Amino acid sequence: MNFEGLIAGTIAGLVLAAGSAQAQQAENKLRWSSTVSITAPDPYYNFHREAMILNGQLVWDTLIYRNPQTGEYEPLLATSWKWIDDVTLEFVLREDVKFHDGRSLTSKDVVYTYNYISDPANKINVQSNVNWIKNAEEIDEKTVRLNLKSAFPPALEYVASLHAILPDGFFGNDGKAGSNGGLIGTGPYKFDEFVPGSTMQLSRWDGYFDGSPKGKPNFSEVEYRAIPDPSTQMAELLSGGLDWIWYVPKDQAGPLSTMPGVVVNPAETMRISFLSYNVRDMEGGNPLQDIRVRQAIAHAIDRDTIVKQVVGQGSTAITAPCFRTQFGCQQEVTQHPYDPEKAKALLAEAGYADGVTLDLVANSSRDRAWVESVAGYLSAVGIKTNVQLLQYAAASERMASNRTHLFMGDWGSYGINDVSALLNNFFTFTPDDMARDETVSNALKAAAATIDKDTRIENYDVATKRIAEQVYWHPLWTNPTTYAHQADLEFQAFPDENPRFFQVKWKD
Amino acid sequence: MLVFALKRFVVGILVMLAVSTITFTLTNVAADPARTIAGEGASAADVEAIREAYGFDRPIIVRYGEWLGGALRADLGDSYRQRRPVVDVVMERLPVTMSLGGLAFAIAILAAIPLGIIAGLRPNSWIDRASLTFALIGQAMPTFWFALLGIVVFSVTLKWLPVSGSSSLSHFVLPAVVLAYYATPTLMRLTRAGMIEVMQSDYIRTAKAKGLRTGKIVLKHALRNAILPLVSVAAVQFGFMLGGSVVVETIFAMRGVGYLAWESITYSDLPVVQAIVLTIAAIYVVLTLAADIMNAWLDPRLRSN
Amino acid sequence: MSQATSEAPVSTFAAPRFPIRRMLRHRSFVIGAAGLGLIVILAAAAPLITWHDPYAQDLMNRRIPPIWYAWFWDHPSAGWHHPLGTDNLGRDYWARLVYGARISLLIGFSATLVSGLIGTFLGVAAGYFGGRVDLVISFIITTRLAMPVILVALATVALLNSTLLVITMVLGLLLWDRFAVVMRSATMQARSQEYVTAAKAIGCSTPRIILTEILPNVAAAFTVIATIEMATAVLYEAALSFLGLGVQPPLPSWGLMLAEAKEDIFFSPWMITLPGIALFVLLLSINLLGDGIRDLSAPGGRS
Repeated sequence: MNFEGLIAGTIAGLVLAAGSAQAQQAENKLRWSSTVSITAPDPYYNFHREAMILNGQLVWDTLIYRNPQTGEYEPLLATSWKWIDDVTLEFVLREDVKFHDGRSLTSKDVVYTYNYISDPANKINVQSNVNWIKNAEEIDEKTVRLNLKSAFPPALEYVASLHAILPDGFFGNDGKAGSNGGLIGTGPYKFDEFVPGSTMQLSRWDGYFDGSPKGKPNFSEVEYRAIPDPSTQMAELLSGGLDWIWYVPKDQAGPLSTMPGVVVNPAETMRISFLSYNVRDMEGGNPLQDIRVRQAIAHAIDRDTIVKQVVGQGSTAITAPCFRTQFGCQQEVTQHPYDPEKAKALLAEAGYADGVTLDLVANSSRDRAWVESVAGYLSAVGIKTNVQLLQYAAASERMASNRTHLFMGDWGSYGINDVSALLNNFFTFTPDDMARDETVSNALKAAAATIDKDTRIENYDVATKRIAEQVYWHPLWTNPTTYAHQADLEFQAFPDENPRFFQVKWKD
Repeated sequence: MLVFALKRFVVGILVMLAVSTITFTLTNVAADPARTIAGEGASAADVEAIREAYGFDRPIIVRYGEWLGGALRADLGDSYRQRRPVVDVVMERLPVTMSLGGLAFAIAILAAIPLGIIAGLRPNSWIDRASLTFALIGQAMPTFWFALLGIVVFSVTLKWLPVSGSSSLSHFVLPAVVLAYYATPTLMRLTRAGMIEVMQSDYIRTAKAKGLRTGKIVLKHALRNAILPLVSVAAVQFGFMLGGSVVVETIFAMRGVGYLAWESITYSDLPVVQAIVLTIAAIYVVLTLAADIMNAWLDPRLRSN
Repeated sequence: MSQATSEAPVSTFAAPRFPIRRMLRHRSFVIGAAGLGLIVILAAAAPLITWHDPYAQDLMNRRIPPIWYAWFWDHPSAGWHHPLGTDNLGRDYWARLVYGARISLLIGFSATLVSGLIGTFLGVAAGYFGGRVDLVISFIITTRLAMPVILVALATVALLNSTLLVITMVLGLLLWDRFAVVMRSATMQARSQEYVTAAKAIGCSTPRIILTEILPNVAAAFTVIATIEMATAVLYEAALSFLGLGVQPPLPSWGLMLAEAKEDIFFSPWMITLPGIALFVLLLSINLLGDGIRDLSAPGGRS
């Protein structure tokens, strides 16, 4: 018996998790938690997936549904849809959908939702999710058209995943969610209680329409609670106070999985980690303007070992600057394998034989060991780093204001299976664009402005190849998400980091 | 007495003014609020637009004046993150923190005073040494370590108490004990020191010489005099505990001001941070004011000070 | 407003007279001094007592448990090469601990130095000059006391970056209140002594009186407060680390090591226990030392 097993065994002996889990099953309630506290109940004035996607799909529905198994679109609120032309999408709505207060869904609700969220004056949190929409118009009671500003190929991806349909007048005149008739939607669960920053109580909506691909609700209640400390979350799971948690720290996943009644599930996500280089002029000179220094950094990092030892199960080392299933993700790009000798040689060639010191900003919400291990490999070839761990907003500010050499971050593309949701955010002269390369930017913009697949592929080819060849980004790995839940819960994870609670249920 | 109270009150107002100036300067000079509001992926133009829309381009002194004017009408602006009035955001969290602080304080007092008295009556006895050891351990353990140990033992292993949350009284037990342990040593040592001093004073000796029994002396004279300095320190300690609740509330996921403060700091929701600092300062000022008046009432000599 | 914040009743302070014999007989003092001395020696001699580089990573040998796992549970990778095991990145835990002592001590000493200077300056000025100076300084002290330390420290560190320098300065700039309060009372007491009155009478300059008459008389009080504040600074650094705003990697501080291992409390408790014990011993030693000095400097002593 090894030591971890011993300790795990001791705790297991004391913990009788199974009993409490069964008690919950009798109540048929799903209790889950994450570290973020949700401050707005609607899906639009939120940065957090927990509300954007989860509430968006539990309390509300989107027009269409993307089947996570097949990747195909299926009818949800809309029975059919078609492209009228490059910039016009038409949807025909279902007849039998009712909001939680009993009234029927009509075109008015859809038009209201799209016109509200796409109006920049209403300042929904993630503008890039809607800023390609011109407006929506009602054709008849059950037919709606969505007018785009210009061709936007991944439009249906967004419609299917992020655009929850709200009832007409949801934000009232004062912008307050639910001011016109309460926090109601058409989804399988309805709001019982929302306590800003702390808890959300949902209960099943018996009037949920038949034939929804999401299926009828499986739980009588779903309860969310924000618990900021991961240790506390694990303690809750172990003591039976919670049924489901995610982002379990890598090193706890193994021993946690040996606990009776607990299942641990590390799964790959679409979120990729990368090292981004600042090549702009900086005060006092910028060593990264020399491509050899950028190459040296790339060659200095042993991604495979870091993935295997530090990032852990569910992660893969990547060599292209995108997630492999994303449309336009070109895998055949310049490679920079681990080669510390070459890294040292390149540094010496560039005139930094005695080493160089660089600022490295990293996202503080990720495991600190990730950036530390990267910094460790860099220091082994003579690159000293001043590491700063910052929240994304603060890190972004550093990039925008040209105050860091390196940024180690990640991007989840909001689960959108298209490269435009990733690279266009970072390489089209946005504030986070530290490369400022015309060729890359133009190619990405061209690819995003047409729905012609060949033209898009061609342009993404140009962009991804140039990013790799010029070493603007060093792709690192895909981020895993480790889920842990009570063993009698049936849960399946998908790469888009969207826990589909409408599919989850207790085992029979 | 009234003049004394009034004077203290004016000082309290001035202190609040000073605290507000410091926090406003800190949060507006050290950070760029426009950038914070703009959020992820905002362009330089967006930030500039926000700067103008919110008036961040005006001199800080003007903005401070405006903010202060609002503060006097109980309007501390809107939370960047929650898009609602800061006053609402903070006030709805206050009950949890005050209950936690109050309960912890009660536990601390109930532990500190008896231990301090017994220890002070019998310096160097085993009970004195035990209480001092107890105090030393309390002073040498980081709160969060103690809290995590508490969770492992009482919630996960023994299952006597819930792990986290703030929805029932049982949720408050563990956090309150943790927080109390943080404040007990100071109060205990003070009671002990006061007790030793009083027991050596002339009137106690006289009383003893007169043949009064120790128990009676303790109750009648010593206790009152030993506890007197405690009143003012207690106010300070209560303030400390409100500060200490940042760590405790974060661990136990309690929906109080401390957790809100930590969260607001990590999301750079500066108006909320300002408001919390101000609220805690106000509580401190009110408590010390009460303590001063109480002390002055108990001991008239202080009024001339 | 109230100034009674010190744990130490000021009246018990007097000019320092430390006969070695009494010092050595005082148990808290001896234990405290020995503990702190040991930690200081370990920190100073760090390169001599560990052959590992505290920053050298070895990802293939992560999270090796301490040697006693080999003794009692036959753990295959535990061994003398890493007597206290390795951390999340395969860095030697013993090396991290002894080098971490440097950072923790540095934070404690420097923060106390800064706060001691500010507090003493304000306290002595208030106590010596009295009147309006005292009023203004008392007001400053009250203002400082009204601000919650951990919150203001967190906010400042978040806004300015959590570098070692910022953390130390912020703690130093926040933790001077006790110094000021105690120095003020001690100075008031010293000022009324006959020799000060005499020095004034023969026309000694104010700076001279403060330097030669007042400061030596408040030194004992200073030392006691310094120990309290040093312990407080180290604890606050641990709290900042726990909340994610402590010293930045790869610097090892005990508070940071403790905070980094918080999730290990369930399954690898040694990772949190080792830095926890180190920090506990440090704080205990400082507090015992402070108690000892307080007793020894008290007129009657408490043996």
